[in-house]
Amino acid sequence: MNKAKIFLCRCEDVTLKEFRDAFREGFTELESLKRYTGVGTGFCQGKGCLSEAAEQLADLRSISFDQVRLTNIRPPAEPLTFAQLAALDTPSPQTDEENGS
Amino acid sequence: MASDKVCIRFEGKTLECRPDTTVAVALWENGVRHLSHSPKYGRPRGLTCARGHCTACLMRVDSIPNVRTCELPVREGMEVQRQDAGAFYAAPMQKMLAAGHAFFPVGFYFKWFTKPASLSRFFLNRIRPLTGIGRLPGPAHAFRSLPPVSRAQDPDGVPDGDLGRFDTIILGAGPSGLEAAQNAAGRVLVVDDHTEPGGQRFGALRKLADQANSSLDRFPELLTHLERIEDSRKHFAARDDIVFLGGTRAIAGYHPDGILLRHSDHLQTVRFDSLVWAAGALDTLGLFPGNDTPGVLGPRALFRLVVRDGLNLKDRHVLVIGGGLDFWLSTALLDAGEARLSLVVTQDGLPAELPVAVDRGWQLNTGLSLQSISGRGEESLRAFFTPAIDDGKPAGSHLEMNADLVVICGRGKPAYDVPYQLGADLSLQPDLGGFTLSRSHDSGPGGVSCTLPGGPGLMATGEAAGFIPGQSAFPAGEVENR
Repeated sequence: MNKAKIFLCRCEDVTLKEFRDAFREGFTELESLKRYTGVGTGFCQGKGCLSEAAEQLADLRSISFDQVRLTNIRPPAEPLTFAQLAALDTPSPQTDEENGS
Repeated sequence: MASDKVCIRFEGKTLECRPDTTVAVALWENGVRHLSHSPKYGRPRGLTCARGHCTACLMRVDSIPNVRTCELPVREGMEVQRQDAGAFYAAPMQKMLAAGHAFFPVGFYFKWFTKPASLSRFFLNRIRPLTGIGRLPGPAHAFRSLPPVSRAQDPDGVPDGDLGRFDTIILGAGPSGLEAAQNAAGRVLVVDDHTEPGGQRFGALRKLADQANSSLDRFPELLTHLERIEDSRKHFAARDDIVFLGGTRAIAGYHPDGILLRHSDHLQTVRFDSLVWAAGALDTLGLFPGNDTPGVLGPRALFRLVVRDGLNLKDRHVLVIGGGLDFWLSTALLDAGEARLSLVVTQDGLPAELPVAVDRGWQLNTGLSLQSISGRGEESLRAFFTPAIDDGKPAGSHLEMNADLVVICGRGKPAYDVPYQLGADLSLQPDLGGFTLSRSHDSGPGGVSCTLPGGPGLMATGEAAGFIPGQSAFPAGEVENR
């Protein structure tokens, strides 16, 4: 009836079919699927797709859900401009702690 | 001095709009529903999340690219353009590019055009720029006009830089966040995206309560929810020792106890001894053909668009699909805004709210399952349904409904990014909506608690812990059984 694509990841334009194809090519972890297909690497940083992708993966692998590990999500969780970062005139919490400065 | 009209320029046309709205909503009300193209397939994209998460509303505003127009207030004389590849090419070229994608499956760049180096260069420098979002219209010097972010005191009185340490930081000021705040001792900081405490549904509920002819009093569940929020707000307002940062988002967690906050263009760092994660949930639209069609959105996006941006849906045709609290709240809100409503209830059996629907003249359907949605952006959307199984009708018969907007009210997915970055142990729990704090931790009626690596405590509560909105507390034993 309607042959429109099912989009898993809108930011990087990854369809459900492409995700499944990548799984069949041998990428069986969310982390490697993310690197191969681009799911979750876009502007939204996975807010729109990672939960859905993980559920699909659990389905494809026929494993229980708690065996699916989340991919690395590095800060920040949304894009910032350099101007915003430059204006943040403060040591980052991490370096502060580690250097004792 | 406030005028009642503002004019913005969109690709050579002048559009008139209300002064108190965002660019994306102003464009929608002027019939521009197609704000960008998707990077690979060139699909039209439009209003989706309305909170600056997705790519659908990224446009070039006054020569600055990648501006989140769903969050940008309109300003007189603003110049707005679509920015991606689809906008440069005429329709035939777009079709050719779209057809070409069939030859470039996902992951091809790991396998093809990698050797020899000259071929790789040719591919990267010549072929790849033909598509995607890699080209900017206009001269590079336009970027020199990018305004710097000042380090001065923010006009709203929020200091830039380091906010110091708090005993408890609560991320999210919805009902569960506010309840956590009442029980918190010491120096407490509450952070929320909205300018007022109350959560994602509060604005919609209050708008309905303020409107005399709304159907709010016909929905006991909504009334109870509003009462609960009002009650929490009252207690919260009485605690003047709590610092509240409205219009602020937590955008990163740094091990072991640091949080990065963003308030408009300003970033702040802050540290905590214990953290309450009450950031709520995100809209889940589901996986069906055409799920990226512009105008298909979730209830949380609808609340923002109608309450925050004043999206005018009078006499527009809106299709609401789903069930539960968000479904009826969306319906009541749209009804109060005089939209023409079609409802598709996906729960089993007849909804208890049926008499209200009959009285208000809403077109209500049950026993249908959504098959697909199509629409090219500027025209109305078409949603296709088939009868749910066991209906006795022949398979394949389908029903078509047209709408300007489709609101899909599914189970929201809990937000998880900041706890993840702080090292919390999250697991996938589809029955709770997605990734949430593992239930192997202490789970009580108020939420799920654990100790983060490095010592600080974390509690997840409310929708961010997978609880269903509207339920005041979760009995401890019930958590594992769900």
